Amino acid sequence: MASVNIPVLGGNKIEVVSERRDCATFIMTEEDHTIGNSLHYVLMKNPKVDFSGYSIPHPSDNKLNLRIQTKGETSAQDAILTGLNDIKDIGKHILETFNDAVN
Amino acid sequence: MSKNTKKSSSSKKAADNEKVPNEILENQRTRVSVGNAGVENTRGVYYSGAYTSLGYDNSFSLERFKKNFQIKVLQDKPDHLVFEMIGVDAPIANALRRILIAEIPTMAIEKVFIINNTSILQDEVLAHRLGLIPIKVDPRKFNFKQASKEYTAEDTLIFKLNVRCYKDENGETVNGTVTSGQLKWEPTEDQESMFGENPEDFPRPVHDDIPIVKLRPGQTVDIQLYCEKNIGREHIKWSPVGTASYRLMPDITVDSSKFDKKQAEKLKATCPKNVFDIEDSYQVIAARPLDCTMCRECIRDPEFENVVKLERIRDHFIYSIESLGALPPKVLFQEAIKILIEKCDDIENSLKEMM
Repeated sequence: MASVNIPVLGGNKIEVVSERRDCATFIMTEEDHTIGNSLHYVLMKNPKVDFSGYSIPHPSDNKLNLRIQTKGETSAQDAILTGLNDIKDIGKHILETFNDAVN
Repeated sequence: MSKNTKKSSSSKKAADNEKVPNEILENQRTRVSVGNAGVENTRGVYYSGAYTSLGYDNSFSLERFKKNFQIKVLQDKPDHLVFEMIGVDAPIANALRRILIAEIPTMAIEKVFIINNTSILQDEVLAHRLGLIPIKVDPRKFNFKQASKEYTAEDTLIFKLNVRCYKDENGETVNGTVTSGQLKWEPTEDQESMFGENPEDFPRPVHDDIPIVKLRPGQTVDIQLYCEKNIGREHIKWSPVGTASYRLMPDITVDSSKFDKKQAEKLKATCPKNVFDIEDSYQVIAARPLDCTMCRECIRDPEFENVVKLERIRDHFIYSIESLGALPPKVLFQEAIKILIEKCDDIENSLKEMM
């Protein structure tokens, strides 16, 4: 069985279905609600994003669909990259604050 | 004069009417309410423009997050950490909880080679019991084992369990119960140097008193055990926590302005957790909200139903992490955040590769 820590090679981890610049569906393998819901959350909080939603189409498929529609200013690809950076920023700040609190 | 008063009071009324929907909305934004019929308004709204009518900017801003975010430690024991996390929304708190349970790697017994087993426990049941024994070793010192490769010192720990039950000269049964303390670590290659000088730091089961199998005189178990590194999503034996959970901070407000002594004491007595205190002039306040279990006993009596307001604060989490012993709970939480960041990096890299 494949494990999360063995990356899926050949760029197969993400597939993009997109006909227009401002909207896309990202199909990720080996991801679940952990990243799906977090990404959905930061994307919704991005003022340049009109809609985001995710689903796990089948519980035994190990697949996650993330839909993004922007308001037109940015591309869906840029929006997801901003979202990922936002999660990382949140994480780094939680880590810093936590280290200060426990030490 | 009377006309004037009338006018001012009516304009005040109009202002109140304007305020009321905003107050309701603000309450919905920051609180989850608990009523007699159940919880209400559980779903958080995260759309950036959702609260524009309140003049509240619901979009994500790192500066605002940094300003509001706080962590306060409530309980700090070697295997149990409880802390408050304030100013973060449920999706992030939940992502960390999920990572704590299922995605932090640990070492656990994966391959069991049974050389001899004359106990009454079947081989497969014995192997399963052994697999669930928590092993005290820092998993960060090891690599993930590639299925196609041979075992190496960097990815495998070997234990031996060789116990024979017998009767000693006094007729006492020796080794009637095989326990986890009888597992012997067998260092391979230069593995001993990975763990320093102190034998206390050597790999061993977290607890020495876990019964594995019972034997009668003459019965033997002789087993070789191979530990591998993996994560809780693969099998729960690799989960580093007993539980990692959170709850929302209770927020209890009592409108006790019209209370007399009898009412105040009655309300205080209804709470099985003794959350309330009676202050001057029979004002009741919720002095220990952390103890509240949201049992709703205080709002069951129609007398208090509209007096006590039971709510939870939407972005105030009481986080509890119980470690199984491989790593302290503090380290587990730090690792969880690192894994969340790593996951984002992975996705980012594969996106950039594709573009």
